[in-house]
Amino acid sequence: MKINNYEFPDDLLYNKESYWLRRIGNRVQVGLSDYGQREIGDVLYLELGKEGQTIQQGEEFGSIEAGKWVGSLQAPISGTIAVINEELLVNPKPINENSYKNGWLYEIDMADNTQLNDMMDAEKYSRWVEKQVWLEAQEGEKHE
Amino acid sequence: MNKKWRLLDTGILSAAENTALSQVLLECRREGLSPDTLHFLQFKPCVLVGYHQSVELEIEEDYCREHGLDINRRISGGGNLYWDENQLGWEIYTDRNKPGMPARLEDLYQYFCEGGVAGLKKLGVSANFRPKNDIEVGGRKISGTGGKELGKAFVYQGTLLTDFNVDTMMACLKLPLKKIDDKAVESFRTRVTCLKEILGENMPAMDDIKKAMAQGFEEVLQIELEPGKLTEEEEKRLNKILPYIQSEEWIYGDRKVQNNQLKVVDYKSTGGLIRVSVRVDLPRQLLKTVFITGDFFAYPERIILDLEAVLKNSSAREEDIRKNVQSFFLSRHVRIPHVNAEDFACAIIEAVKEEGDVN
Amino acid sequence: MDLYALGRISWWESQCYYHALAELGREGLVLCSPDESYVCLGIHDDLSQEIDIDYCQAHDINLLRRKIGGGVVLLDENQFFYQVVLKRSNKMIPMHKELLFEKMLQPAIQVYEKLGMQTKWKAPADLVCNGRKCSGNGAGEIGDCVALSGNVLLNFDYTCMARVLKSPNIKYTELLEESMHHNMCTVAEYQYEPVPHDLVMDWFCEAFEQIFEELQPAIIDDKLKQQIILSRKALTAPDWLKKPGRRNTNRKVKISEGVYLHHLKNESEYMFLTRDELIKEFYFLRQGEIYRDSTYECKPYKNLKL
Repeated sequence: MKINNYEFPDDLLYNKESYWLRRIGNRVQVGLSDYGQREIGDVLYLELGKEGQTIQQGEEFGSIEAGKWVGSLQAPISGTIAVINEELLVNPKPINENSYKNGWLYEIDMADNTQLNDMMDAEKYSRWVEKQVWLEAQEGEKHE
Repeated sequence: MNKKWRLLDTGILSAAENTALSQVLLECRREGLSPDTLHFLQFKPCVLVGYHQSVELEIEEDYCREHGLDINRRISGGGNLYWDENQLGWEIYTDRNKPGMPARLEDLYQYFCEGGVAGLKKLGVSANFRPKNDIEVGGRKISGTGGKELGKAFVYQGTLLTDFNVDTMMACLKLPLKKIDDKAVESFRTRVTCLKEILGENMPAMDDIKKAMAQGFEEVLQIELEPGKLTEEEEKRLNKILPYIQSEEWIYGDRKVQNNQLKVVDYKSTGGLIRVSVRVDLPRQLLKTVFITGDFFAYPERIILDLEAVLKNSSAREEDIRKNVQSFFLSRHVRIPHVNAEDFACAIIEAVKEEGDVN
Repeated sequence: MDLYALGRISWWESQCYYHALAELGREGLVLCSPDESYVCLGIHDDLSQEIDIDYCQAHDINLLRRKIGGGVVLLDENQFFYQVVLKRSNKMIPMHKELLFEKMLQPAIQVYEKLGMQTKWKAPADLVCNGRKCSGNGAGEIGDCVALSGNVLLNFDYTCMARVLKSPNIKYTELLEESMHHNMCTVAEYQYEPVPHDLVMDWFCEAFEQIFEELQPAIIDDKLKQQIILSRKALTAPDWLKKPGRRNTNRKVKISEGVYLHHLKNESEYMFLTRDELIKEFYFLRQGEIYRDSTYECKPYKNLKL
């Protein structure tokens, strides 16, 4: 799905924190959506948590830095971190350049797969992004 | 009617205390336990690295130990800093979803930096916001800023150089300079400035500086500041977290896989020599800092400093360097006789490719 | 209050939902947009007088007559509708029906404000921004209910609107289009970027919550689905569409509240724009061209003797 020059693959799920989720059985691969990576900016550094770490849906963990701003990652779903994308610790560029393939952040074994029902499909998510983009444009004009 | 914010002035504290306090204030803001706050802070002499930086790569540790400079790490991003009692730190603690708060980060940086600019104006200093997050006076940096968010809450931190000791700064931080010689010191001096240099004998006392800055933020953020103290909860949490912030675990952390090569190249252009010093993290393809000097003539002179600001933490890829330098030249009225964008791009690219010192 | 946040739906559904709810005696708030253009006549409009049916057929523009008042409108995907159905016995309905408009148009006023347009209610049923109409509304009784329907003009096809209206001559059509431009306005004139409909939907929900306190997403049950189909049949039936309506001796089109474009033919042919009964612009037609004559302007049109 393409909207406002953003791409949102139809086979993924998304949440309002702009993470995408790719289901692989009871495991889910997580990354930042095209909109999410653009909002954050060029990622310089990040910490992805540790394999074996348990996280709850909505919990903040790890860190991500772009342009001197440090934010946290937020777990879209509860579970145990199975794998982290270690290559990003050396070179985080794929987060911005290839967010849906090499830019995946980590994989998590789900504790409660019904939480996936809370997610949005590509169409719903793209409409949500459309709203955010419009509102941000308004805010941007106010501060000009 | 303007919203009331707390004005908190915790005076001169150690690096660890100030860092711990930042974390505590941010957590309490996130939990709704602390009000929106403008915080003034000062440091006993110390050096700080940005949250993700590696102390070993950014700080001359031996020098710091020998000269009693504390070493610590910020909770916000950005680069290494030298602090002493003469510098003023300011921090804003509030929420991203407050009405009127810019949604985009770049607008947020500008919004708060304009507060700093307004404060400086009250001191008679004509300053400007320079993207991404600097405040400059005549092209020379007087404030650097950075932020950290936790949930919807965030802290935006800024420095104000009032009177700084460039020799100590250059000795304790690993800068993109091969040699600390007179020329290097002079080049570095031209890139930063401070209130003492601008106002000379007219530089007000720290209390008056704080007052002016507070007024500047009140004006831009449309708030009313009321002096306040740390709450009981904040004090309690500060005491609890301080030992951790003082620990090696926090300071040195697990900052793996970083690289900090220093490379210097002299590039001959028709208009003169361009000397480029860069600090790169090659695996990360990151151009961390760029230092451009030479015997060319740039009009206005500050254009080189602005170019360095644009290239800071940018991509080290050849095509990106070329693109960034060219779009900078296109967007500004750059006049450098017999030197063009391509010359600078080539010089920087050559520096990146050069065999460098890893430290 | 039951909320039917329908988003983009078919052109006929965008009228039939509220009709169906009213016919079933169910209260509800419908928020929607049609997926294509159609002409919607008010209950008292006369099809043959108002509409160029040939043009509509040639351009596949659908036709529907609603059961509530207000004038002929061209509705399309660049508009957002808010439709309120209340039982007649609902105490929210004031004695003075006009005040129902004032109350129920507050959400639209709030939404327009978010879009950078300061609007106000112009009785009985318009919203105006800087003196120009930006929203048309109608209301009426359907079965045991009162229904009110209105729109936000995100954008508007003035050319098409002028063409669908029956016209005595091409110059009248041109004047119609020009008059609409001068007396109406849309969000597109105030917002550079197209406004996402979902955002407008969110804002209407927030604003209507202030009136109805609670909005519960409603379930569209089989009964309602059937009634919607029946409504479609009824509202587009040829006999219903062709039902004689209010007829004028001379052609007269309402541009906005108090503003009309008239056509008069005796030995000569005249066209004039009135605002609040005063002639604002007066033209006569000669050999296919129009000429303005200020002699008649700023005078009450009722006294016009030609």
